[in-house]
Amino acid sequence: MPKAYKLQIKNNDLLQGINSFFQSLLQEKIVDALLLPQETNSRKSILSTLVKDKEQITSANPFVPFLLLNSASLLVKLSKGKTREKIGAVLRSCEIRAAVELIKLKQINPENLILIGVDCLGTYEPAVFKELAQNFSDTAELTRQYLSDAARALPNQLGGKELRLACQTCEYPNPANADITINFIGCDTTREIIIQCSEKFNAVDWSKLGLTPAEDISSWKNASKTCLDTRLQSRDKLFQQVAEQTKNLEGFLKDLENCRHCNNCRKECPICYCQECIFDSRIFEHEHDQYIKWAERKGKVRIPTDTLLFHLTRMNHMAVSCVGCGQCTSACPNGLPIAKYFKTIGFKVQEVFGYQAGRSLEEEVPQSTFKEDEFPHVGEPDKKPH
Amino acid sequence: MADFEPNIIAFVCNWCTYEAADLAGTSRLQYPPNVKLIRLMCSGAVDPIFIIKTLLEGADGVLVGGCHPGSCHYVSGNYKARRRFMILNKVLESVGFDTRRIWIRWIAASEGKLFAQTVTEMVEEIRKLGPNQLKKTWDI
Repeated sequence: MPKAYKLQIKNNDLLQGINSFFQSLLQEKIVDALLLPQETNSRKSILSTLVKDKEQITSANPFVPFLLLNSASLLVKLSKGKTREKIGAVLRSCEIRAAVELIKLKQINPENLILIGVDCLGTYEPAVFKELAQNFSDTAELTRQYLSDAARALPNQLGGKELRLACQTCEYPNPANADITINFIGCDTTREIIIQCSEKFNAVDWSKLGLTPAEDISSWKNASKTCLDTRLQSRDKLFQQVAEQTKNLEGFLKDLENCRHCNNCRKECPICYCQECIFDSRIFEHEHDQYIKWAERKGKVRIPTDTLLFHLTRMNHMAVSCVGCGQCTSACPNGLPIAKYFKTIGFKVQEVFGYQAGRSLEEEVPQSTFKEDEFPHVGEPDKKPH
Repeated sequence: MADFEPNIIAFVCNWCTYEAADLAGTSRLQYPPNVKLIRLMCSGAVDPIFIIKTLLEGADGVLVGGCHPGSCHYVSGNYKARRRFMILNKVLESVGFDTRRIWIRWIAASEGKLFAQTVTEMVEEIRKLGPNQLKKTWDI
């Protein structure tokens, strides 16, 4: 059972408080290096930094409604080979869930990795966030406004802009499977937030890091449940909308009209880890004759070819581990609503195996295991498969 | 609609279903000529991309044949294949494909009759479904 602590916030300054907490993690050698989001030099954006010197933690901000990329991919790079130093990674729930999948897929080495989860109320698409940030002097001010809006009502309306669809429908506002979690939903973030630490830190004197034991975390639990209920409603609405749109293939094709097969969705997807994707191999270097034959057979053919095949294949390969982070849509230069399909279909595929991506390190990824007795009627269209 | 001749592609495993097809041939069993066999060493070697590609190219039906679960020549190939096909069917049905065009059958080497019967059944069922519209779809 994790132990719950309070972090008292001084001078109503949450960001200063969390900054000091991160500094103390390095100071007290809980971690040797910290991967955390900090403000850019322009002060209008946030990106991930890897820090060893606590003095270089100056503008930590894990609460900002913006996520540049799913940092699980960064953990793949940072944990490669023999790891000597303990890296603490400050991550949102979708990033941790992707990291859990990648650990099971043997892409992240969990030795010497400390996962620090943060509650998330949702983020904005990069272009939307850029626009919003113009109205504030820096991301710190934007974050303060965002959190105070959230405390009063649904946090979807900063500047009248909507959160990313993936965030609105995310079933995991609280991170799980983390060693340390930073929980702020339902807290008065000008006074205190909750920090929970797993049993492996029972020997640590957390008072040195400014934490005091918390007796009652029910306001966090209740507020998180309310947030979750809203999200589930949005998610079920999304599933229904996708089901209606996909009664035949045309619905899906319509949303893919402007796909130019740039593969950005694949590059940003934390789960797509293949060193050489089949679509980059010679199999898809078609010759002049092949294109001409297609044009002849169909009358006309879309160029570039294989766009639908790309999305369907990618779905087949990674849907069992899709955590619904929505980076595929955020990365798409044409803003295609890929995330809504991958999330919905990811959910349905995982349901077939009673599996949830990112739920547990003990649960095997469905494609890496099998049971001898299961699915007796697969591929018999007139019977239910199981 | 004039009766159309379905074009069915079959991915069959070398040790079981391909042998069954061979046995059907040597036993002079009659079955429709609409099936084109592609021999693979194991049903576990069938990458779902083959099935998707086949349908996108306009095949009216896809049949995958393998050893009975528990009797795979490579021990566990068909167990893995079974999970892959569950995923494939769920993905395709969720985007609007007609997954009645994809048949997975476990046919052992001695089951020549079952092979002929399966093909006959499949051709008739696919004939009822009509031609695969993807033959004409150009924006994929």
